[in-house]
Amino acid sequence: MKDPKALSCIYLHGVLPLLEEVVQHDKQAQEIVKGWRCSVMLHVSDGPATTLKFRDGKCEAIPKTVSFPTIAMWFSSPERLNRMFEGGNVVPVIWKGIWHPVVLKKFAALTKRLDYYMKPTEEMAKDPLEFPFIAKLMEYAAVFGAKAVADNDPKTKRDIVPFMPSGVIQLVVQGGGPKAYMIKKGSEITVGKGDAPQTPDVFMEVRDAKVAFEMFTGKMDAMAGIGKCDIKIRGHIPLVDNLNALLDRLSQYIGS
Amino acid sequence: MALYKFDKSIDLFVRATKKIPNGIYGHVSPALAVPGEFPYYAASGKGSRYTDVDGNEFIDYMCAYGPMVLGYNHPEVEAAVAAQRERGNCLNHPGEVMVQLAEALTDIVPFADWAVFAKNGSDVTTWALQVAREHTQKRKIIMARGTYHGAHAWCTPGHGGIIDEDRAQIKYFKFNDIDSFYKVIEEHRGDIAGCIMTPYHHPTFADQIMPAEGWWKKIQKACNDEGIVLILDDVRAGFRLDLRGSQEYFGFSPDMACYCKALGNCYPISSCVGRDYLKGAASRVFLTGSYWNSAVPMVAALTVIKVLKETNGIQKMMDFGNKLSKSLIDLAKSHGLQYKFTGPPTIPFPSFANENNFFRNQRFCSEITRRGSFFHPSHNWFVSTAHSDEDLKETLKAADEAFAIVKKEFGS
Repeated sequence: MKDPKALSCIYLHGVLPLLEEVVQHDKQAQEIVKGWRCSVMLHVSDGPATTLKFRDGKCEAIPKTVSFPTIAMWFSSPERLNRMFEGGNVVPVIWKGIWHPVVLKKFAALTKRLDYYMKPTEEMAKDPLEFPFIAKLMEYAAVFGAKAVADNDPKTKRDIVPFMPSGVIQLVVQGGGPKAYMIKKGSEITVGKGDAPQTPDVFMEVRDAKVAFEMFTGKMDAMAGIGKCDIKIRGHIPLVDNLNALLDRLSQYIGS
Repeated sequence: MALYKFDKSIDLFVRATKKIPNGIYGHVSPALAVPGEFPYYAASGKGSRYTDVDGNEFIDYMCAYGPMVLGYNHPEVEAAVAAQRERGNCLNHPGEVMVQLAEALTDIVPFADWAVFAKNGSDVTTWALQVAREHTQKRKIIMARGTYHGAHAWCTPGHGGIIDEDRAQIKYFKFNDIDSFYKVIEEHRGDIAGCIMTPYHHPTFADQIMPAEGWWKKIQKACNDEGIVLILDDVRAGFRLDLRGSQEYFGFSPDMACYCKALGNCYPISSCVGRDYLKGAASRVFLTGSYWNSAVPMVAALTVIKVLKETNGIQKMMDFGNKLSKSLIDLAKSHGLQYKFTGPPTIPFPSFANENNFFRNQRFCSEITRRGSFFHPSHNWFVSTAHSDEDLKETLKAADEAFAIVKKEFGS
């Protein structure tokens, strides 16, 4: 059973922040945000929020409300936000920034660029310039989405998180690929991009961006990858085992 | 020393993943060791050694994860098995051997008045819960959190395919924490059918925890006072600590006990034994399986009990286990490394004392495994009566090289 609030957290804290990467990588996205100096806040009644700050052609995602957003979109329920992310015709209450119609229109176009990368075509899978980027997006979506699930899905909070050992998981795509980490301490989970700030207890190392792309897009059998050493796990394996349980639950929410 | 390679194992595994979910599933999954540096598939075994599909021979410190207790292809077991196979294995009716085996088990296990047989540990642990419920007409089962009792829905360590209702009547306490045990009884008083526990706590990826002083006496007393059926899950430790069952090793007496692993020396058989007062309930809980009456594994089990008894097999394993731990700890110390053993000598869990994330253990175990001694980095090991001083000598030679590598890589 999917919990609507957990799903809205996945969208706002796991998926939407990927715009940071899209704006950095994608020419069309860069064209859209050119000259923007504003913040766009999406928030759900009694639920999660994310604010996207645009400055100097860059995007920064902040996983909360801010005091003075340029544009604020309010959703009366998690279900309404979820429907919007799933392509439904939902009009949020724009309680601030209604007088920025150009930005609002362009913001919709910007989110379509995120969609473009999150649903890669066969051609993109073969493009050596595209698949490493998609692999990076997928890795970040997995880690941040796993945290959203761990913090908000009632079943996960009850059945997985309390029994997950404390420790630091470091994900690495070798050959200069993206890194991400998850830290479990007590009942708290923190995640981030790059190297973990503490010594890892377990490493999950993926051979290269191609393997990462295939793994995160479900095009390869992860166990075959482990058996062939395309994916290496060293250290306190139960941590990765629990991360996999979180990812399995995440895929029940947003898997294809 | 030339290092082993595992090319055929890896090729076979890749083939397997196309047709078998996870390629190799469960506790023998390559993911739990060090993939690429361990064998995935076995070809043959003899005595304390086995050969993988790449032709590498190993001194085996996992003993098929427990079932091998006398050595692979033990001559006496195999002769008895061959003779029974000649007569017939799976027929319309159980063979005489079923009665003989029940007599043998109730003879050696002091509290046991009856015995039944199945194939796997999960078969009998799950059935034992039903017997407890049938006898008491109560619902709840209490168990130590994190204990492995099998792969059925009420106890599997996996997450998939489980619904809340599967575990709604299972309540947990912490091993060796008597207050948490009393608390769970207090919370569910009057509705607890059974308490199932292993003789000591043997998790994977963690030190083994022996029962605290007085633990079992307190557990037994509380269960007796509350009318809770005390079930000993002796699947992993049975016939490796005491031929009469692990309860004798730790000084208590359960109401039922479940056995598997060492019972059949690699032939598929498990058993549940119990006290007379539970025989009525046991007779009312349906128990069967397509192959559960097959005679060959029963003959194997009967022979295992006989050989262990005649050769003082448990003591032999204890002696070897003690020598193994002492010599590896001493050798590690000579390299400036801190190596430790937890758990009983016959089912040890070795690891490095100055880490809890297994980096050193994985490096050490993969290096020594590639030199011909199969050491698992995260699961308890098993020793058998087939292990010899010659095996130990060879193992120590390989361990010397492997410890040197750990020292070089990690410093201490």
